[in-house]
Amino acid sequence: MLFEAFRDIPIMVSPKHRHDVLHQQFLTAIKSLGVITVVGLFTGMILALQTGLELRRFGQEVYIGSAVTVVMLREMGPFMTALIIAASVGSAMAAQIGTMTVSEEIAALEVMAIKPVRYLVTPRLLAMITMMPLVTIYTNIIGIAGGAIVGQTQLGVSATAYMDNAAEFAANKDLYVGLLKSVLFGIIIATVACHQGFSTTQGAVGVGRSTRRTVVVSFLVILMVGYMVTRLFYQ
Amino acid sequence: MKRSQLKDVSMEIMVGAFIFMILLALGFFTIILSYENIFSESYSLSVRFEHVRGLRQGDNVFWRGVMIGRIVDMEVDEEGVVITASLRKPVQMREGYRVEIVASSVLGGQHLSLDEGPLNAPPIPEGTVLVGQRPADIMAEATAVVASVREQLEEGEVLQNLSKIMSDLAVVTDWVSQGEGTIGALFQSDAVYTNLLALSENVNLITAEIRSGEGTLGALIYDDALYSHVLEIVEGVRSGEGLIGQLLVEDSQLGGDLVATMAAIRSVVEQINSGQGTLGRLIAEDELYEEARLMLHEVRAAVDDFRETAPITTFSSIFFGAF
Repeated sequence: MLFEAFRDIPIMVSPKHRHDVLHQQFLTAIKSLGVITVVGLFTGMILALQTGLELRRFGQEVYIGSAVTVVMLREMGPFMTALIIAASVGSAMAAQIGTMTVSEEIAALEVMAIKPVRYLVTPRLLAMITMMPLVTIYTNIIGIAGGAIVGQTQLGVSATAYMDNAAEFAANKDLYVGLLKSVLFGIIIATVACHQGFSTTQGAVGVGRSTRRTVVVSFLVILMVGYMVTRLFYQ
Repeated sequence: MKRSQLKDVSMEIMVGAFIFMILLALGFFTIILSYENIFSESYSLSVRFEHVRGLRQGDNVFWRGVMIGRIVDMEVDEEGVVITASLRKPVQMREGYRVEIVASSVLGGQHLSLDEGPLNAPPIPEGTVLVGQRPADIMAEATAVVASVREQLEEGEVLQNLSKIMSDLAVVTDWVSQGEGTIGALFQSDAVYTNLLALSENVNLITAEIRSGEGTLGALIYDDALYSHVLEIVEGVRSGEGLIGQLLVEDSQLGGDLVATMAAIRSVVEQINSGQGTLGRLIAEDELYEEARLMLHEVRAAVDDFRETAPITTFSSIFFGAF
């Protein structure tokens, strides 16, 4: 299914399919921005507060800029974004496709010679691949801003010193490895959600089960893949 | 335009705007994190180090304590490591310059420190690969210091001396706790404390009296009349009034007389010391002393005889006077 979906990606640029992709992109990114803003902001604030309080014991609280930025870029930005998208968008995908499966709409598509993977999976996969890195960048910005707010208000670290320190220790590698992770997480979420949707049986109960499995399996695979990518690039 | 089409257009605008803004942010992030300054002119500086001890690309470059650039490239070759720094300001290096790798904080991190050299030294041509100082291995130096201190402690008998001092201190504290010695008595005896308290009270009393102007000292310090009087006396003495004043005035008659008197006394004393005159001979010659002593002895014996015969003589005079 995944191979077939990747193979159909070039077809998605045609005007006929563009609307489907755009709709999925809208659901993936714009509809999730509210939750992502809150989660990203508080993730950065918590990171800044925890590391800042420990660093203050050594009089080195100015280093929260680098701590928050590097952690957000490398790990927390992609990870938190993936969790939110898996829980909101991934579960919705599984529920929608699962409902279509149990109501035999998928069978109807096949009868009409419409490939279900091309019609349902490829737009979702493409939307995830394109929007996950962008949403991750947004989460990073919000998280770093949250850290700066805590630094300014609670730790006495000015925003300028915070950003200077952040720029000093963070590197492009951190940013782009994080974006690579987010692409992989997007593929995982779309694949797991669509697979669980197509595998749905036993009516409404099965749809609920598929939704739950999508979230659980996505979380587990995201964690494992996240570790492996980190291991690959930061040995 | 249909409602569904309008919705599609608004969706496209929102998604497009989001993608555009995030791509802008990505570009900004990339520029910031690549340490490139594309908006102003930059100056390159190359330094060769034998060893960079953990310095890495992106570390700061400081000149006179001000951050003026970053390290943008590092190349390892057979002779060491050539690092290239991008500076925001041109730094004219001169003979006697120093380029060092310095620890940024106790938690780690390093930066490059530039010292351009003496102002009157000849300049180094632009583009020259400078030679950096070998960075100090703080851990190795700390280990050497600890080893040296340990050696001094062990071989210099410092530990033995400290041990002896501690044992002596223990003995002293035992004495103090038992009330022996002055300090021990101070700690243990109420009498010493009471005496000290009384002494302190007396001192307080005296100082209070002085402060209130009582007594000679108090009057001297606080009584302006006394002060004025003393001042008048001093002024009078200075102006040559009175006996002391006349003595202090140069070329005064009294002073001349006093000097002449002292000279005469000195002359007499010198004559006595040299054995001249009666007093001098009496002091200097033992024979004369012995004769004087014998004469005094005889005089004393004569007086004693007279004292013994006086009643008889008196009685005889009275008895024979009656006839």
